[in-house]
Amino acid sequence: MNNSDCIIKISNLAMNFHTPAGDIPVLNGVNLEIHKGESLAILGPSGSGKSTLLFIVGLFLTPTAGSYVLNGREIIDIDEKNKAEFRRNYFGFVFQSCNLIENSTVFEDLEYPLIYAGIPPRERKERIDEVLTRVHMGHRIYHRTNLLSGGEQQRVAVARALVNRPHVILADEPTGQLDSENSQNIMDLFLECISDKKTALILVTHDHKVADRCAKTCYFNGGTLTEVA
Amino acid sequence: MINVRDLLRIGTRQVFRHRNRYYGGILAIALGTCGFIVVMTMGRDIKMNINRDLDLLGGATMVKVTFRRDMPSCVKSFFKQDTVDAISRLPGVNIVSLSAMKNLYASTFLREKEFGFVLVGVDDAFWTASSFTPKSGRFFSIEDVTERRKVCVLGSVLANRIFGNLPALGQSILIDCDYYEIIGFLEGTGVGDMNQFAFLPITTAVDRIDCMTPKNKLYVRCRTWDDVESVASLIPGTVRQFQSDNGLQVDVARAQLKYIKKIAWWIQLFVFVSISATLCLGATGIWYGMMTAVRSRTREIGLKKAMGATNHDIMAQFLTESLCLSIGSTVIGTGLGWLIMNIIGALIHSSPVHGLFIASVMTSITISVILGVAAGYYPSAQAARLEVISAVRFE
Repeated sequence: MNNSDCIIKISNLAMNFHTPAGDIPVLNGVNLEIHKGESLAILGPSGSGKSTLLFIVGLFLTPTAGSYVLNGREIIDIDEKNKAEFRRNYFGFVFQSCNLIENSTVFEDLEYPLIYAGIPPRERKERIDEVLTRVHMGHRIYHRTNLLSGGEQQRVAVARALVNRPHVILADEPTGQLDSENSQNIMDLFLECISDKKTALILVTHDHKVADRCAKTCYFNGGTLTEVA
Repeated sequence: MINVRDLLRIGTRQVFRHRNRYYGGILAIALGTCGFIVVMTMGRDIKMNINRDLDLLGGATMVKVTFRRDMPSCVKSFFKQDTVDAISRLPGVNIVSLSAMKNLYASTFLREKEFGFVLVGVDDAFWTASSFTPKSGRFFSIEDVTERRKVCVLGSVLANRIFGNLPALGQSILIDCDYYEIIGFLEGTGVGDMNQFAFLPITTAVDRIDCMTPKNKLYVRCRTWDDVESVASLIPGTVRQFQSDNGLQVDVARAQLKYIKKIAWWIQLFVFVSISATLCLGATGIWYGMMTAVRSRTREIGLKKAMGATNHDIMAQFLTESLCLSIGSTVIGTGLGWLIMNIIGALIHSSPVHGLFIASVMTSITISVILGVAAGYYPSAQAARLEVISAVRFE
């Protein structure tokens, strides 16, 4: 892979959580490069800092030290408004559970990212139809999200992460509450979504079977990230 | 930044879906708005009716205008019709009635017995101006006055004195060599000594009765107590435009007026404090509902921020919901107010003033916008301040 394909470059990243009892170091000198079309699984024990790294990458948290270059731009010190803009334009998020907005239909849920991105209503409908077809949920477009099964809800969540055509999909234990069949289905979806070689996937998981399907696997321990061969 | 159309669509949708949370606030604001619109639109008409009722206790909104008869120069002074018409057109004047009185006691004979009484000539407006209603029969109509009919209304005490228990309605009574048909009887609160008087149409009295005074007494009924002083101050100038005001006397029941105004002020204060309290209660309801919404929708806020919503987007969304609630409640209150306004209008025989209604609706909407922003600002700011990470992980 050449340098022009690099979307995310993180160098010497450190993160300490400040508590009344003192600082707790979580990340310590993390280095990471993500290229277009790449899939990365991050494994590690609970509390090792996997999700923290994912949230830093997703601009939910600001690291204590280090460098974070997104698409060639250093973004470690950008303000909240710009962070929102980057989240809108670069990332699609999938969380472990309670991923969808309560009291909404599938269409309404998928419409939010498009509204925030300023996409006109007619185009929104086209994009939602397209992405729901990709995750095989087109027939559920006007169904209430709370009436869907767990697997279906996670498919909708994947669709929502994709609807804005992000550069990177960030998934925090997306299969944590699914059975193995549904987990494999979701992974199929993810890999199909990044097959266009334009989108990258960063996935945090405890499940080795899920991690094995990614092109690259890293292991978190002691606040540092080690690539597993 | 999210566009206004989407904001309104999402705001109304969220309010509708979480409506159970807001019923109390909606009801309070709707009732407050309804009260405000009814008071503002129908207040003047209601005041007029209260005036009429309070007048039974003393005539606070009646201005009595007379030419003094103790001054030799104006013994024969009387009100010209142009003067009467001009006074009736003054702002704040509801009705004007002209009267004259026989200088001496009139008398009648029945069963060889003589009965003396005060005889007054009045026009058809006198009864309405004095808020009198007949005990039985009827009062003078405009035809009785213009056609100079020989009809008579008796005070009930006088009728009883003359006729005893005999039926008197439709009987004739002899006054100054002429017979007059008795068409009604006067009785009631506020009538006072007049229930011992006899009344003739003023035109008939002036034509047929000896020793009648000229038409020198005007009863000017004002619309509300607020109009009394201004009407009283305008009358001398209006009279001067058409005739001499020498000996003109304008009497206002100032002590009663002051007392009624004081009562009315307290009632108005009470009404407006009640309305304000209701609206504040509604705003508090919305505030509480919004605070609950922010807490119960914390994860939703986190998800939206993760999707790229800015703090402003989140704040705008919750503020819009608050505004939708307050304006929606105002719309309900306006509908309710319109209904009650028409019911009251039908009951007091008055039609609501369209301009006043529009003005009070506009004021209500302005108030509701202020309430919506005031009630929604803090919860919206709280929602906007939530950190994505804690909101997304909120259980």
